[in-house]
Amino acid sequence: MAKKFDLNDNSVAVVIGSGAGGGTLSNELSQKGINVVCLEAGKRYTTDDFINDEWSAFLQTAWLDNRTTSGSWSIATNWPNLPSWIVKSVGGSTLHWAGASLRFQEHEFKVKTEYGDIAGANLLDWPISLKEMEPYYDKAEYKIGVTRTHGIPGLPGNNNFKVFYDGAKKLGYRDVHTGRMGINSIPRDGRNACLQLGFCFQGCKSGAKWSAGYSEIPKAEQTGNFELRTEAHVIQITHNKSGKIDGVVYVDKDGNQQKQKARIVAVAGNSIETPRLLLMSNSSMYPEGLSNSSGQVGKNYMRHLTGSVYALMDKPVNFHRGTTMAGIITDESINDPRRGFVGGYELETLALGLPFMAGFLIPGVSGWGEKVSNALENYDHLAGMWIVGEDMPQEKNSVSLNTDVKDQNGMPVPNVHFDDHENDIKMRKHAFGKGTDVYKAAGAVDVFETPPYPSTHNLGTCRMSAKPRDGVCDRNGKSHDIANLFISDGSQFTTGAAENPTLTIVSLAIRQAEYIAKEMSKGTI
Amino acid sequence: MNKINLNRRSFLKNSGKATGFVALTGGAVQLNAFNAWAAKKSSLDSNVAKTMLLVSKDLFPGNKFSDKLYMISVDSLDGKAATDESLKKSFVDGVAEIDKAAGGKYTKASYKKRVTILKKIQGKPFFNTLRWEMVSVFYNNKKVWDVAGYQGPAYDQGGYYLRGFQDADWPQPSKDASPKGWWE
Ligand SMILES: Cc1cc2nc3c(=O)[nH]c(=O)nc-3n(C[C@H](O)[C@H](O)[C@H](O)COP(=O)(O)OP(=O)(O)OC[C@H]3O[C@@H](n4cnc5c(N)ncnc54)[C@H](O)[C@@H]3O)c2cc1C
Ligand code: SF4
Repeated sequence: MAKKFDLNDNSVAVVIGSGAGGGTLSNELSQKGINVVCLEAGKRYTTDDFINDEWSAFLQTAWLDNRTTSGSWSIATNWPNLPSWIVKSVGGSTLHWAGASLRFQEHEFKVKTEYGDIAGANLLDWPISLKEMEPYYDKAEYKIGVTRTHGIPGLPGNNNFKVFYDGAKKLGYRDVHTGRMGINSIPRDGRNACLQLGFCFQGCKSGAKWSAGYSEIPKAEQTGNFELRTEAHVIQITHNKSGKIDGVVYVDKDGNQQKQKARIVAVAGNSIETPRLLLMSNSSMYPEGLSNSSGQVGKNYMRHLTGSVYALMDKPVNFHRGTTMAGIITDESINDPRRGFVGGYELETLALGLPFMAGFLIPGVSGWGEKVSNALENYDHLAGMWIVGEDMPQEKNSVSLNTDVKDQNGMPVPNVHFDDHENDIKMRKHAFGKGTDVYKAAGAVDVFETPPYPSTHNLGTCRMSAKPRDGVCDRNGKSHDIANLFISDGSQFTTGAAENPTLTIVSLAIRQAEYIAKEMSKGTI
Repeated sequence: MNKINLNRRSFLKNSGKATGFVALTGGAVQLNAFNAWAAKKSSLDSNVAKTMLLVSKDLFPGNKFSDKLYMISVDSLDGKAATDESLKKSFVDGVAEIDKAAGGKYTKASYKKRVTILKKIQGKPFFNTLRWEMVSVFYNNKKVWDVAGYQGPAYDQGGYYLRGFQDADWPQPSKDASPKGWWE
């Protein structure tokens, strides 16, 4: 029942990107009878196409268009042209996501009030509260099938979790379990239960893991109100004389430019491409780019604190068996400034295969020598965890256009600038210490404190704000400047919280679809 | 399983010795996988290839990895050099540079000296190419996986849920923390 819309049909809602934000929004809108054209830069893959091989899978689906970096973050040295790990494919990064699905805590929606003024941090309260978000979190959890919600059982813990749990309990941590995961612990929603394959980061071949690509998009197609165009890379959003959005220009798979007219446009290209597109769409009416009267487009880029702790244990672990992310300690996610920093962090188990471990145990050119080699040679003795902490939004951390370097379409590439905030550094140090303690308690003979990887959580570059001067969009993700332009991905985040972002992105998309449908029926957009 | 190895390594570490993956008898390095090189058709000359083999080993020294395994990386680079003159030249030049730094032959220098040399060239193209080949080709090889204990894909075998995903010798977590699987 897949539909085709005419390029000149100006009644459609155009959604840019088919990932967590765009894929969900597309489905929700088309379920409500709204005609949607979703433009996705990547190709469409089925679960059969996924490759259980780390480097091949990465090269198959990761966003590899050139990007540049600057700033003092270790990424600029270790991965100068790969600031983030994002997927270019139908389903976006939910193809590779691990599935951790956590709600934000109440205080994390109002950090300016809770944390006060922090030098160098551009803190702001969200224009939404947890209370307002709760019904949408509920819907999102049901949609994704999050374990430990709606009566869905938790997943069984794997070897990596056993080690983690043992150390955590010996240290006295209380809230330690196999997490709330967007992975089927039982068959559900037409998808299989998890077979503990261990290639969640490469695309789940059994389809047990929720992904916008095969969970949302096919449902949208069944409505008959939806068209997906793949290999359609949007390079400009256009507007009419009155300043309202009237369409988009994209490069199709043959390299030809097409213009699709639109009633509204929702941007969900993930937090690097979304601000880049707004900046590239500048015009004489909007010389600084679309929706940028505040000057905040591309600013306040956040990526979560991150870091990993790997340990060489005294006995075989075989942590590659089973889910990539298999469990969590939430005790450290509170805000307790007595620890020397504001905000908190989650500790989540993480396992990589030997090929990625070789590249990621100590990333960059210093990753060699006896210590790293010994760990790799004893791969079956490794255990590992990942740190996800709230990082401080800083105005100088930003996505901007690098006009010196052009991409395959001749457009300026995004430059991603990032410096850690003092609070980030203190929190990471604390988390490294705790992670190390966990593994020592469980019998580690050697421990690695591994610096951040290319960002998988990219957030905040078109932040929501109550007042137009403080941010790019309002509490519904609607542009403060242009009534029929929406931000529909993690770029909306006012601040980052300690939790993995996707559940919140999906909840916001469900909420936004409701708002758009209501306003469309009223005729205000 | 590998307990002995770990202990031996920590012993070696504690005693402050080099990890002993090559027998440094009389200063000459025994690279036993190397004899075949002269016999086969290759783009790199034997001295260059031999030095690259030792560099690869020095970058990722192992007790369990044989020289033959390390040759995976050198063979792969040799293959690339066959169709890329400038790459080939960068290997010849790179080896000349580290030979010079060794005050003779890199392969005749002590392990300590060789590590110092590698630290000096860390980040340079020759170093980066050899390191990256180890990361992306050596550790991506099934034979290396077998030695290190990585089992790779399990889809064809039906996943790990019946193949030891919970067999590590640590206490079983509580049922609340880690519920039973759907198959149980
Ligand atoms: C390895 C990995 C593990 C992760 N694990 C977790 C986890 O456990 N829990 C969690 O909450 N999150 C996790 N994440 C993060 C999660 O995947 C992202 O937060 C989420 O997918 C972001 O949603 P999005 O809609 O902003 O962008 P995406 O899902 O990345 O989708 C953006 C889409 O837009 C397309 N696009 C971009 N620009 C254009 C353009 N100009 N024209 C057309 N299309 C365009 C892209 O191709 C892409 O398909 C993980 C991510 C990775 C990579
Ligand atoms: S571990 Fe489970 S969720 Fe992950 S890829 Fe395998 S089947 Fe899918």
